[in-house]
Amino acid sequence: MPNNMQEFANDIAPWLKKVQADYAEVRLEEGKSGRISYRGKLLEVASRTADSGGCVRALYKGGWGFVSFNSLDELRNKLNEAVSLAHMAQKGQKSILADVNVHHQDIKPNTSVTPFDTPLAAKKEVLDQYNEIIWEHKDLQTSMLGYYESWKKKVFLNSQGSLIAQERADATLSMSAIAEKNGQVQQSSLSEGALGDPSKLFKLHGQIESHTQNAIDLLKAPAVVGGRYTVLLNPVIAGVFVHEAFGHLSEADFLYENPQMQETMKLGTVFGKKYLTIIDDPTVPNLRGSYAFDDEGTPAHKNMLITEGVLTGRLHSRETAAKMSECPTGSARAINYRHQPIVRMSNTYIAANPQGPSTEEMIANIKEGIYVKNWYGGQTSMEMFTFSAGQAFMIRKGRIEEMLKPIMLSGNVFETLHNISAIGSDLSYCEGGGCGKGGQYPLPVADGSPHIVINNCLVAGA
Amino acid sequence: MEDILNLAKKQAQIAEVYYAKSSTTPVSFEAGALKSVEGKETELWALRLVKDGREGFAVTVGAAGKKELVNMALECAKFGQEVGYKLPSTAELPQVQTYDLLVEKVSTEQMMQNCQSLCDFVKELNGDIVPEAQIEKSSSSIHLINSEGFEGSYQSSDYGAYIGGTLVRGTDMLFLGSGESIVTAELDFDYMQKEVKRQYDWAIQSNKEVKSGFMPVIFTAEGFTASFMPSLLSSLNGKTVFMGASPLAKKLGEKIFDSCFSLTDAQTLNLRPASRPFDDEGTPSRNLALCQNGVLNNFIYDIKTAWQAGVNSTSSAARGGGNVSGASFTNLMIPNGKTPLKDMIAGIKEGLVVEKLLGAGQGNTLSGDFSGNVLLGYKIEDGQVTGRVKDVMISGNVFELLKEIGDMGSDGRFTDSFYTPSFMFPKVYVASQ
Repeated sequence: MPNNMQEFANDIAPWLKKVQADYAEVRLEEGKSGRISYRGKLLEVASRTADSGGCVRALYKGGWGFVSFNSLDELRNKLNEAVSLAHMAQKGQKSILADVNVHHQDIKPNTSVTPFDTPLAAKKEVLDQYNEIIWEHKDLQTSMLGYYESWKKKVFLNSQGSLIAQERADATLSMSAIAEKNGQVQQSSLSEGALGDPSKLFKLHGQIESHTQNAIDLLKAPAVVGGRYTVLLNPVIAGVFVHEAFGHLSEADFLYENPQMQETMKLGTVFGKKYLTIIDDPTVPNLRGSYAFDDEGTPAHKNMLITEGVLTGRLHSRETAAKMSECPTGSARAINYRHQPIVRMSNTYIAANPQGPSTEEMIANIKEGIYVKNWYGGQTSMEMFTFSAGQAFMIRKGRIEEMLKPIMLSGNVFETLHNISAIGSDLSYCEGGGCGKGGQYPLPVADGSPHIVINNCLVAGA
Repeated sequence: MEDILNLAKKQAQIAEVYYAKSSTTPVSFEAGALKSVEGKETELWALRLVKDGREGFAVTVGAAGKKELVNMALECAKFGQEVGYKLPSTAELPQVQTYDLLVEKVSTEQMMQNCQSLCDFVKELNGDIVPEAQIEKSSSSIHLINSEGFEGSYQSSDYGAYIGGTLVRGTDMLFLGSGESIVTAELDFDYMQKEVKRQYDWAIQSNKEVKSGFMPVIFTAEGFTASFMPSLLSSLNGKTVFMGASPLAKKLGEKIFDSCFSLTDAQTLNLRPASRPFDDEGTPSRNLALCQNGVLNNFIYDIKTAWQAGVNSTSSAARGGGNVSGASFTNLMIPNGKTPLKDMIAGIKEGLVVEKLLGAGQGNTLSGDFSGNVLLGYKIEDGQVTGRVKDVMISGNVFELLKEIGDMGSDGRFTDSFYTPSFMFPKVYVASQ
């Protein structure tokens, strides 16, 4: 009987090659995680989790069968089960797969340091420091503070002979400060993440302080008057914007079965001005959305989605690439072994514009507008998007003026991309994001952008 | 499970073991044709223990052994929260129907046929619509024991379907969709089809302009759930109340909303997927009136939050990823009004119907403020729905709007685990181009 994941993989590999299907793959995973959370001054939950399991996906005459399970002991039965489900599914769609080379790789983590090198109790000490900073403020109603760390090893093997092992560790930290006065409640939140070495999450004292103060300051801030404004977005919220507004639209699983949508998203279509370039790149070193192979065994690479204003690429799985006669992009990701891989983003960003204006110049050029920083979240329906900002300031006659209560920005993606009137050179990434799609949440991603200006953006109070 | 409990009791004073096992069979249709058939099984053990007054949690899924589970929880208990609550001992549990054997007996072929006819129905509305459908059956069993002698278990079944369609014309996109989830094998496919047809008929007439300003707005059950529930859920949660972050915190017994508004957490409702005989830490289920005729009656609590706040658990403990993560609602029910939806529409000279809202729960929900982009909404002109509205945002405050409800529909329906009718509010702010 095999006693670790690698042995289970070696054990099933010969059977996988003999499978009664056109294609089959096995994914095995083992992982552990830890969580500490605070509500107000009190520690709320300290917990540890160990999770292992696997899945098999099989394709037969165009139909997909998929099974997921926790026990690896009957792996061969599970393989047969997936194949028989695929036989059942053959009556429908004719799914096909684009070619991908066979790979044998053992990918180690990006650094030798992982969050698991120190006990959970040591992280609690840092969280206690953060909580002290938060609670030095008097007008605070409550707060939330959370730390999460995880380690995972995945083994992928398929009937074509690939065998890929990948290991990664990551950690996230989130905090919200909530202030209240006369029945009015305001909050300010921070969310950061790290791949591998978590030490940057333990040096956030300054940001914790400023977010706490921000929640209190929001109580005195006036609400925005809804309408259309010129908005200046800082890199954090511009990153959310590019992820929500454009990134999801470039995921080919929304296109490949929809001829009208393909027409709208035809490569070569002009989406913005010359200085707009949007990239999704899982190979940027050391970001939370980075990886070497996707969950179909396709090597990751840099994908140019918009180049100098023109649509030049999109994100594919093997299936969407085959159906659209394009190349797989290494973008098929599954949040864990319980799910089939679907087309997802990795590290998505607006490229820096070396000739672009500085933030000061951008502000100076705005007669009346809003400077938007920080974020709560965002959502998209392809055509329309919304995203909300925790920090906003009026800009009048080229100067930053009063702070506003949180606002929500919304619009039509196609119009809004054309309305980007300036892009700066100060690209930076936010790694606190978790993306949700098709019931798979939160997938680690990073978003990035320089400061950008959007004209004529629809704004409402959030 | 007893082994884990005994192992934990050797080192800890209080211990609780939770076990859940489930199997799910989803069938998915994309672009009108069968895409995949899946079989998913999962099993987890969760342990909570209190050692020397401090609490620790651990969860194992898959290969990890009993000892590892206990050791992980002990590691957490070294620095976990200091607690002084008691877990429930044996008690009489209410009878709740949570399981129907017939759901497991529904064949995959039957699910495929039903998906096909749902897709065909959408295709018949308009050949350019790309239809999708999912049907999923699942069954699970829950088992809970603790060091105070509680032991309980139940089985549940869940049968759900979703039908949707996307119509793209240039950059103009229309998303239609309706779904339902129940405990028995009797899904109301007719209703889902009628809903999608209504959405299509209302939206397809034309795209209508709206001027910014205040106007009467009708929220369908789905629209109301998206816009109003995030704030209601957080403000009625005992944890938010205890932390002082709920605007309703000091208003128990006060009239906070219009007299026509009542809200119940119906934990023992038969044949609903969210119902159960006891909550996730063994407190017997009950039906809890949260708000009656506009008067605020109750908040919801799990044992730990109740202990902190000096009240009793309302049998609302819920687990997230295995751990008890606080209190959560089961079936939230708002009783029907008297007016049919079409009569409500007929009474409006100029206004909106809001059906799907984008981004509603992502703002400052604690304050009651909501705003969102109307993903699917319609214009009312002279008492009739005349077409779709787009690029429109609505905003308001949940607590203010519920003080003066214009009208409530007789068309109550479950959206997930929320039962609500349509609502009409006479003055809601609408921002447009």
